[in-house]
Amino acid sequence: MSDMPYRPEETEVLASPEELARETTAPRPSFIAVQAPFATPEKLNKARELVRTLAVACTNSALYPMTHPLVTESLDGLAASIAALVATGFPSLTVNIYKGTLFIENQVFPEESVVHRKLVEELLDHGISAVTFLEGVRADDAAVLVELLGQAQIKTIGDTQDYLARAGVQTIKLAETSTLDERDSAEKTERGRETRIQARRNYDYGLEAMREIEQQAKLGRVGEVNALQHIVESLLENLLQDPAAVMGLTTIKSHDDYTLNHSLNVCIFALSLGSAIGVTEDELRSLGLAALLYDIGKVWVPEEILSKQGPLTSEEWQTVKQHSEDGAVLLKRLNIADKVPMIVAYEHHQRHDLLGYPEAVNDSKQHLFSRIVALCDAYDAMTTTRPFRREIRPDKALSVLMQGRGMAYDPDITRAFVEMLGIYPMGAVVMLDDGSTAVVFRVNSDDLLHPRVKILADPEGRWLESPEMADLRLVDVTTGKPLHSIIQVVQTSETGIDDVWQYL
Amino acid sequence: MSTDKSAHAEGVLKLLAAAAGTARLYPPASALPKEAVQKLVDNLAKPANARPLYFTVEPQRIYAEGAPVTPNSSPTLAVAEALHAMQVEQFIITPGVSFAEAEAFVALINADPTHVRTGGGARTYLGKTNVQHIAVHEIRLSDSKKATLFGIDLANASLGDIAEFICEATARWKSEVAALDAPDEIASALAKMEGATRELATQRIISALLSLDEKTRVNLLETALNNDTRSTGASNKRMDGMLSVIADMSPTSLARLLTLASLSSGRAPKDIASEIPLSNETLQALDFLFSSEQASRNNTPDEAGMNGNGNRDVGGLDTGQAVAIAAEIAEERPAEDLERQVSELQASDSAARALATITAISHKSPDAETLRAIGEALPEAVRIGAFTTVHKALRRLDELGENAALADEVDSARSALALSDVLTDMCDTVKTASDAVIAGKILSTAGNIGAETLLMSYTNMPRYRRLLMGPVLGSMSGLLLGAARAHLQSANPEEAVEILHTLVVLNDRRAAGVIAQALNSNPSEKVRFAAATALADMPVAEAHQSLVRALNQQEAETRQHIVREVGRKKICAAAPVLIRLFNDTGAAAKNYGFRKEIIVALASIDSPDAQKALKKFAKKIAFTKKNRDLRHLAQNAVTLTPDEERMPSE
Repeated sequence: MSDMPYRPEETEVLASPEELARETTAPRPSFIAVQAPFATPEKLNKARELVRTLAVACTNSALYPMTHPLVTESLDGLAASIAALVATGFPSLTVNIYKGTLFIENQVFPEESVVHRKLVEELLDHGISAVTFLEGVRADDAAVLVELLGQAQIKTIGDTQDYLARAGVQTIKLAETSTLDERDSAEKTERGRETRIQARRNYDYGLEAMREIEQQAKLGRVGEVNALQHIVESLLENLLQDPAAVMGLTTIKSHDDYTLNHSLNVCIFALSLGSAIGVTEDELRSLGLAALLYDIGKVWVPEEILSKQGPLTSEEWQTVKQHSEDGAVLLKRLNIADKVPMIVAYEHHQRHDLLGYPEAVNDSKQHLFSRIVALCDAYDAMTTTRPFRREIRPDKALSVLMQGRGMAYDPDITRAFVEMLGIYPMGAVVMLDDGSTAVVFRVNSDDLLHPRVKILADPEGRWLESPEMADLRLVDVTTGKPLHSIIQVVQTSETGIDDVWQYL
Repeated sequence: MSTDKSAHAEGVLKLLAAAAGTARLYPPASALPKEAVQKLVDNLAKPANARPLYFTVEPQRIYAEGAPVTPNSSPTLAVAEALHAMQVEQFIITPGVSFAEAEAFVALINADPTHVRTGGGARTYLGKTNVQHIAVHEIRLSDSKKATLFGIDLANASLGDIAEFICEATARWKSEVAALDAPDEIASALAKMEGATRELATQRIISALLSLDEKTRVNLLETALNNDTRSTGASNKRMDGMLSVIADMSPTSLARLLTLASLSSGRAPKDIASEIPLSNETLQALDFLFSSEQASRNNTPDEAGMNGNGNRDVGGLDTGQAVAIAAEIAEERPAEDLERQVSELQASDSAARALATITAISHKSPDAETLRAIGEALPEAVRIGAFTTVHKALRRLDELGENAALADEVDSARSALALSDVLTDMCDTVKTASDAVIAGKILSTAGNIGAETLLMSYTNMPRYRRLLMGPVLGSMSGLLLGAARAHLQSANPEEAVEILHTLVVLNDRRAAGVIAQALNSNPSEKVRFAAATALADMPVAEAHQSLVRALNQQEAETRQHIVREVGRKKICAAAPVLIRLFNDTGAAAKNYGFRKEIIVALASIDSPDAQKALKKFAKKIAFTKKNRDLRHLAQNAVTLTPDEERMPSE
């Protein structure tokens, strides 16, 4: 699906969500840049085991003397579980407590937070919000830690640190401030704002540059692409510094300048996705340029056809289909060695199963970048309001992409894209279980269903003067249930929000 | 926020900062400060810029129309600091700013903050200088709760107070709407403000409206529209003040409000909108929002209508679907070929595709430009062995070549193949018979360069590739022979030897002449030896004849090698010459090694003439040891009868 008017006769029969959930055969690249460290069940289980053994050791040491076999056995177990997890590739491991919820290396453990509530409370009672285990933790070191937790008179982080230091423990560090604290340092906040400002500027410059290219293209000329290469370079630089700042720009949607905004958004999505799957920087530059120019051929499609509300006639459809070849014809004149933009312009509608247009040459698969751009094009088009249809909600758009895997879209790239964006992507406006309206602020890669949000309006629709931050991973330790959850995504245009970007 | 508006606002800010900086640096008598102010005013006066501009002040930065302006120039930073020091949180510039107003605002920026604060604040300062088109909103320690002489101070009251005010004012209006002088307090409060402040106040009322719950908002709108009373004829009034504020809401907020009002009243949103004094811009935006929704509804009739919250129940994910997708993403899978594709992403993949794409689009634009593009794309595609793609491109060139007008460009494109390093790399990629066929066509198209490349690379190919390329050699004989003839003269000995090996494989009788030339005239003994071997190995009469003729050459070592070769290959035609040479009484007669080789060769040839000659020598009386050795050798090579053994030869 792209920004073409909805054509019921062309709708595929998509797999049902149940079928989708049962599908297990499609392999997944192991290298995908999963930011959650415990990306495999094996690692996840080891992390759970660490929490369990720590809790057991604390419980046993409270019940028995330290020399009791049960205690020594549990301490050995704790040391072993730490070693097992470190061996999977971590020079150190930090167990954090944030608002009563357990995290290990930014991975949330909601169930364990409830099951091992006593451990959480004990740590907090001693002023400890973070425990870092370094490589080489022995049972002796673990013994000092559990003994410390049995000392009711030690209440401050300073005292706990002194306790460990006096016992000569160097492989365990304690801290008060959780790294998950959303109250970032002023310096970090300021840096983030600077990056955000710069990213927005680059976006605006990009619109101007694209406008110029479009005007030249209408005259059959291809302008200088230096400006576009510079835009790509700038966006890439911003992306590598602060991916969220750049991804947030894709929430900028304009129906006046749809084509230009759309090209920039596709570029940003493509760069992000390319970076996530391991494309090198040089290649990303090529991908970025291709993502800006792939639809240049549309300048010759009459606007009344592009904006038509009803179904297209077959003549109109043929006119639209020409834009791939027309774009490639124009881009072959580009005076640069990189021919990828021309290739992507030609191939981006061929589909993964090669049943698209124009006809595939040599029956070969689309270029990797064509597949990336096709996916990003579809997603941004779906999530933008057009004259012929309302925007499709981001979660639904992702679901459509998932159901189109293997047909319209490359299955592995689609998976990587959904993993990158999250089920509820940044900028999606959601309704929470209490009826309040929020915008997804950051995706939690360890828990795609529970992002961080900013609450904008209460259940009665009252807009808050200052949005409230909420991390949906946090659980109520008494019930084990999340404090908040998302009921549904709502269409941005229906909420009265003009500019989602301002909240990101 | 539109890009144009924020860009314009940023431009205005910079002009303002420049004017403030100039006024600070230069004396009042100087023309420069006035020029700077005039620039600002002129910019604001442009018709395209005729709209209010909103700025938010922070200690180190000013936001222009919501877009943060990085203070990378000290003048802009100075403005931010100055206004912040005066507790200005926002300022608005509306169209129609005069020179005097701009100058007064610049003077405010440069004024002593303490003096301004103690004098009543920035707003008071501007009020004293009769500035109408620039308004400031100041931060106050305590919100202004008191109603001023003109009613509530909408510019400075808290949003809560403003919300309370508009609810009460609306309620009072509703209760007295039947009366002729029903007070529209909102309109009054706004009317009594100077221009720019009115804009600011309107925006604050809108913010206050949004801080109310949606039900109340809808009630306020419905009250302002007064349709109940209007429909009964009791009054035809509307609460213009409230409606003017609502008209200034952002299109999406307004659309939301209209949608909720529509649910409440049963009227279409557009009908309700028609009763509000909306600008053309807002009407267009609303039209877009509502028509796209309508189009969605038309195109997807199965989708449900609005829910009670005013949101369409349009196919979002339910919790189960979302969980299923998340679970699938989280499942561990073995590595797949995406990783491989990323790691193998090379320019070479693009090279082949680029050529394929250009070839494909050449049907749409069969012109000189396309041909140039094909010529540019060909070499790399050839280098990586994209045979099928190159083959199609060459066929397309043939088709395009039928157009006489493009003949030159076609030739030029084909000539792009004439790069020996490219063709050498291509030869290394041949893996199948079909690859070899196409490679052969490419090499042929490349002309002499192609022939030279093949010539030089053939013998270095692994055996299987030589087998594949064998037919190619045959098909390019003519070109190869020409290339060989040229190269044998100039190539180094090793290369020349390789060329000779290749010529043998050619199996073309014409090669004999080329090899013979090398045998007779190449300065390198190694080459001459190889040429002799090559001629001997060629199973054609011409080659053997050339070899035999070469027995007459003067160079002794070469001649001796030729003898070895004719013996090795048992070339009978050489026997008479060998015999003659053996019987030669010249210097050769004294060359033991040479004569020995001849005997060996004759023995190998074993023709009747050879036998006869050997027998004759075998019976000869030998006086010297060497001759006795030679006679012995000859005797071993022939079978003498007892009588022949006893009879000495003449």
